Amino acid sequence: MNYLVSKTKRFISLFFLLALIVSCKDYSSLDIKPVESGSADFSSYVSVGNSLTAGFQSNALYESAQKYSYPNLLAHQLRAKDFEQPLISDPGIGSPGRIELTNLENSTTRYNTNQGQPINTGIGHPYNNLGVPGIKVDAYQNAPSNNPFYPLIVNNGNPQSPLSNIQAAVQELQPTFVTFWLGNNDILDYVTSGGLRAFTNPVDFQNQYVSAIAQIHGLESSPKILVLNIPSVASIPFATAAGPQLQNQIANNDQVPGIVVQKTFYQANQAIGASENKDYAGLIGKEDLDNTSKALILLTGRDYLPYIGVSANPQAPSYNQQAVAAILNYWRGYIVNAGYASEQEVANYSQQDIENALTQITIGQYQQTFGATQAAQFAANYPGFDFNQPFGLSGQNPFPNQFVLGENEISITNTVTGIYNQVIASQGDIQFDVNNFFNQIVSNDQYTDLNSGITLKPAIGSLFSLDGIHPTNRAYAVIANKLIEKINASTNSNIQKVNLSNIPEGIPVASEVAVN
Amino acid sequence: MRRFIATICLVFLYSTVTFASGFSIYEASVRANAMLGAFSAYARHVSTIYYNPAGLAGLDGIRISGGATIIAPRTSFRNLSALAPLGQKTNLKKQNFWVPNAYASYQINANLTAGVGVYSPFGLGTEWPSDWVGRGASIKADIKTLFVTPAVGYKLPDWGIGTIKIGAGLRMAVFGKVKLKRAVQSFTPEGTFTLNGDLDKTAFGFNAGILYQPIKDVTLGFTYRSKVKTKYSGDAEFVNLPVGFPNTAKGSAEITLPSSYVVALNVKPIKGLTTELDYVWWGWSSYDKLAINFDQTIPALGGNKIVNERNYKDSWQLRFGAEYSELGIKGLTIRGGIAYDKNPIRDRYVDPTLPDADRWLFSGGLSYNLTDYLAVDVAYIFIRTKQREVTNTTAGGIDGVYNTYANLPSFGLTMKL
Repeated sequence: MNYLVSKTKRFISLFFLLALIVSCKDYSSLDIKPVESGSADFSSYVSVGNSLTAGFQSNALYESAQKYSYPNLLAHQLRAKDFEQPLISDPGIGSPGRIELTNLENSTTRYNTNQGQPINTGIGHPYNNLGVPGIKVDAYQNAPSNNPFYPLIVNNGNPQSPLSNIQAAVQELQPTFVTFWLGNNDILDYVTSGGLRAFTNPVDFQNQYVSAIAQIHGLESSPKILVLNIPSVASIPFATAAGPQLQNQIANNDQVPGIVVQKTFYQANQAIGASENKDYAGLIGKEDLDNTSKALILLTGRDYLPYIGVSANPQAPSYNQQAVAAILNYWRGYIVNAGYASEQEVANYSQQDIENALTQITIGQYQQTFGATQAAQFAANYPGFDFNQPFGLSGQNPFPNQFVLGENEISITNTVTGIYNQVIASQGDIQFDVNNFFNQIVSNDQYTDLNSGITLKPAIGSLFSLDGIHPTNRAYAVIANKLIEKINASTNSNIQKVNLSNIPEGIPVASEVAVN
Repeated sequence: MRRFIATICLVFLYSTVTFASGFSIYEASVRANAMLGAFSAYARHVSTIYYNPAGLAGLDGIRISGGATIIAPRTSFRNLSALAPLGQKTNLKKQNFWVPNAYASYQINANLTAGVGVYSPFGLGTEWPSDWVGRGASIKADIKTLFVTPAVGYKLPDWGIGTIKIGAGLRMAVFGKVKLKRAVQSFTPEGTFTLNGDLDKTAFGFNAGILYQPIKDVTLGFTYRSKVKTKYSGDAEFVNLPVGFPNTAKGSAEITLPSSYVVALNVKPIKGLTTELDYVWWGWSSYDKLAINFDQTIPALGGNKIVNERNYKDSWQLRFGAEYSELGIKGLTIRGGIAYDKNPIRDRYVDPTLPDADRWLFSGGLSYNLTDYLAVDVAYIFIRTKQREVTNTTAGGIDGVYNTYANLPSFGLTMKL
């Protein structure tokens, strides 16, 4: 009996001992597998770039999108130390504001014109994410005078202690690893203005780009540089979404052959892909509205598409007072931008005054391109503007050039982007061909992430945020993962990819209840 | 007597349940708890209605037992996702759950005994801080069930090959609640989704068992419990989601509670000592998805349902328990147990509604006969799960490392009249 009792006691003791061992095992320290960084050192990471690097989305820079900027995601996976971003509180800073969804079924949006404030200030050193929305390559060394983001981002961790340029910030940070993605705006400005604003001269581009990379290479910290090239800006929804929409709108209307668009005059210039154009306007046939090498209707022109066919003649059946006011107002702005008259002067212009001004401006543009002699000939045959003609269906009342990239401008965009990308291909230690990657997505019309099985489309709300230009949270995560692939392959590292299923979509919505 | 039962009923109404492999709860009796549920060939306690209804056969007189298990799970999560600093720790909110049980049996004749049991075989309860990194996966999940099982056990005539008892019961899910809450991060600013559902109507299943005693001191047991399809309906709320969602909708969810079977071996090697080893199999693969259906099309969902892939796989548990009554103190019986519990959730599908993992369980307990008719039962279970690291989780999950332990004290009374 006693034997049994002692045996039982021993059994119980053994049992409690076992329980104790299992229960007391120290789980408090987390064994995170270290990153094998191969031939690279990721301890201090700095990203240089524009809005795409800043984490800009839906026309604004705001904290809840900045969290998913590709540099922030990459820094997390690289285990880079204290990667600081110049965070702006929601709804962020944008002009005129963040685009927010007001109705999902109709895809209607609005601008939230409230502006956010810098919140991650006082860190005592420059930000690691030096993505500045809107900047061109030149801004690496020369601060642009009219960029509201530059002083907020390029400083000593506080807008009150500015730095002269991005180069100075990089110099101070002495990174061991740099991603460099500039050049998009050097051509994007041309695209978003329908070819009205200039692109950066390719020779200047080369000088500025090479000089920036050389400065980074020369740092004492001798960082590895990953450069990203420029995706075809003519393939983004900003340029491709509205054309098919218009095609649908006029598909069954036999009276409307397409859209007549104001055109820019060009002298032939093979180096930049330009053909000669002496036409002041031209028809884009409805069959070409979804042909991305013929014509691209920009998202900025979407509001004017319903006005096609409207005449300013009150007697005409297609007269529409509101539409005419909007069209005349547009051209008033155009006249001011052309430097022909001041805003106050234009405000008092009659319809006739506007037509005369536009006729003069067009002749002036012709003269600038082809010289005075030819311009006189042109002027003799040019019928000028007449808003009584149907809007967008007549060379005398054309759809504004600013909202359309024509065949010539598409060719120029692609040629210049190609030249820029040749420059980029010769720079940096690791290259990621975003252009090729993005073209693949466009031609497959989708991207499937093999880890999560998530499929994203090159459309607004999926890969593209509401502005049709900038990626969404998940698209930024895709970029981070592609960079990780490149880094792993070229430095023999084993950095883990971001799990796309954990990344929320985060599409901005208008916070008050939308009226349907 | 009547009063005692009335009080128990109140406890049932307020009870919440949680925590076991998958969301099964095997703690259906205080005595069984002390032996970690290695009880399906034990057959000397009225809670056999749950563990093996064949055990009813031969239970004499009137037997009544009631008790409650307190389940106090503690879970920590450390972040491995890209959404927050690496290793950032979040603790599950501390909650303690009461899981009650009650059984009664009445011997009709020498070979036939009938009984009824009330217990809570499935449930879970997890709540995380509303601003935590995994809020898009879960903020709160609560599933409660209450089953009533009338059962009979019958001792077959002696054919000279040993004693054979058979039994069967009707498993009726009479009460159930589901509450789910999580952040909706598809939009900025983010909102929350809540579903409060009640069991639509009583759902039915059955259990059946057999006990075979080829020789004195050795008993083999087998129990089968069928799956039970339950449906919960109630109100869905969408807060701070002005675009793409209605403010409220009616929602419903179907959850199939899995079938299970037990193979048990009970041996009494020496006087006063009972040992038992049970193998429990769970058909969790029936739980392949959690779908919530709404009464209207919800634009943001592009339809009228939310589907969460679960893809559980079948799992098993090995449970060992022992009991010893010859301690020299009259009326005292001590018990202990150890068990290993294989979890049914694939790594990719682990989510914070149920941060499950393989686990070890340890138990101890005792009964003391206060009188010839009344005994008190106490038991204590300690559960430690293996640290579980989940990466590449699917939508609705969050990459990270879970650590869980739980204390489960239980108290009860057993009466023999």
